[in-house]
Amino acid sequence: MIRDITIGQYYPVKSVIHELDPRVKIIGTLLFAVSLFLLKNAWSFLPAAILLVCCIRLSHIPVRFIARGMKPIVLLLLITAAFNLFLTPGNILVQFWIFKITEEGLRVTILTVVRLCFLVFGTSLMTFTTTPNRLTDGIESLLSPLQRFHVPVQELALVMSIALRFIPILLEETDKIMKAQIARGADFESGNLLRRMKNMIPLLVPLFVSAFRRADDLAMAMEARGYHGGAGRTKMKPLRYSRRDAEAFAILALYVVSLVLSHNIHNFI
Amino acid sequence: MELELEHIGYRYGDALASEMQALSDISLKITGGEFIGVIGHTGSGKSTLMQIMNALERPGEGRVLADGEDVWGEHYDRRSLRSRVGLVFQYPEHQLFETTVIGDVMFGPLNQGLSEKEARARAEHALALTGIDEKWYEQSPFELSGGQKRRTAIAGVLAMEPEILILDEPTAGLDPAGRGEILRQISSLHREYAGRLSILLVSHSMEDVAQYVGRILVMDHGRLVLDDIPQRVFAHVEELESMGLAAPAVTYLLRDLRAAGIEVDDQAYTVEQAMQAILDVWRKRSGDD
Repeated sequence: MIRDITIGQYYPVKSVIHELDPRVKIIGTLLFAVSLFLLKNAWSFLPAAILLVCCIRLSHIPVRFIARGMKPIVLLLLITAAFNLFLTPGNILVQFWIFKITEEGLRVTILTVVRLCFLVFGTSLMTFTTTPNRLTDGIESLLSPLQRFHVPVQELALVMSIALRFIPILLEETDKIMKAQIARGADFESGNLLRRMKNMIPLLVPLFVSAFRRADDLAMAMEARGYHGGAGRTKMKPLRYSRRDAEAFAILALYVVSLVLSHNIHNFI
Repeated sequence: MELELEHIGYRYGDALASEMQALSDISLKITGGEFIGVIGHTGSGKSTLMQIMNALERPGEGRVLADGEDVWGEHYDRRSLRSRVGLVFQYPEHQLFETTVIGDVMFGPLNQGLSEKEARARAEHALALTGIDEKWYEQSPFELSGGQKRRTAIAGVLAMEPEILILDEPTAGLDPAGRGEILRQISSLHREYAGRLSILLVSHSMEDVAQYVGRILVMDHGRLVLDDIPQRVFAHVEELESMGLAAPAVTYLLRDLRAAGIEVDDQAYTVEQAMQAILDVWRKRSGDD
């Protein structure tokens, strides 16, 4: 019933993008996301679009599949677009009743929609091509300088990887409990809001009990295998940059240069 | 009631666009008062089939008929079907949620629209059937032992007074004493409701199934490969083994005895029957001397 959720899912195919070091992908995605919001000039979106299209092509993930990730934000996109379109002051283009569309409004709307779409495509590309484990490894490695300031980076990474690992398990559990209660005549779909919330109790209580039970079991299993966390822990598969990652960094650098150039494009024309 | 499956097919498709044929072309009929064992390896489609029987899952192909009516027809009341075909999931104790044992068992009957009083009477009856003592009624279900929790959860479905009761691996994770107790209670239930209650017992243990049921369904890779009385099912030892299943241990013993040249009847599949078969040979031999 709830198997349709695709956010944060990994898409298992072989591609150059999949094999990149997770740190490269995290830095690249951050850079891409920040750049989208710094760009004011419409020309600057050209390099961003080129980078995005190339990465998607290289990743061997069907565009249709990535586009599916847009579904949950369509409403948000529409509302944002509507507000920008109708509420930006400036030169009036079209006017009917109390609505007026301005030149600036149109511009801002298009930029915002493009920005949000690029953002979702870019970030979902990262999760589609990186397993949760590699992603956590990458974050841990990137944050490790913070350990000097007594930030428990390793523990945070562990918490994150456990959380990610348990999402599918708890989803499956929810599905199972839901079915079991429906088999006992429970109704999760009708009634007003209050009634519906009350109807969720037979689902939520067992779910919480099960989450605690699993947490307990996991803690026990980790202790039994001698996990103590903290300093001195080594990895079975430590992250190492390869030639391909260097190339990727070079491409990112090129991207930044092209952004700077395109930002000042009016100086050249 | 009579439940009939006609050429059921079910595909399990996930978000990664890879699809799997979970069930294909399954036809069977369950009439009143049967005691049926369902066996098959993990992933053979047993659980999906059980969920199709009470309309929790909709089959991609084929029809499910309850007393001749298509349960996926436009005006069919599937909620009432679910109370007539009771389904006890694997590890049912994981669904307990109420603050008291009696309250949890009353959940089903109350959803059926019964009054508080009627629901309580049904719940008490069901708890008595599954052997939960009255002193536990007002306790939290989370304070019970593992076996008691499971019996409480089974009572939760029994209290809805289904005409067909499906139990998915009711003995999984219990110790031998707990297993025996649950199975004995299930078979005494079947006797108590003689003719009015059909039971489907899903299990991977041949011994469990062999001892109690009158008909066995064998599932393999989404197909129903055998549907027969135990004696005839266990005659297909090689076939069962190729599916990762096995006949009861006593069947092997009798076959070995036969192979060693002892003319023993190798059709027996419970310990009692085997004992009888061996004793018969023994007596015959002593008589010959």
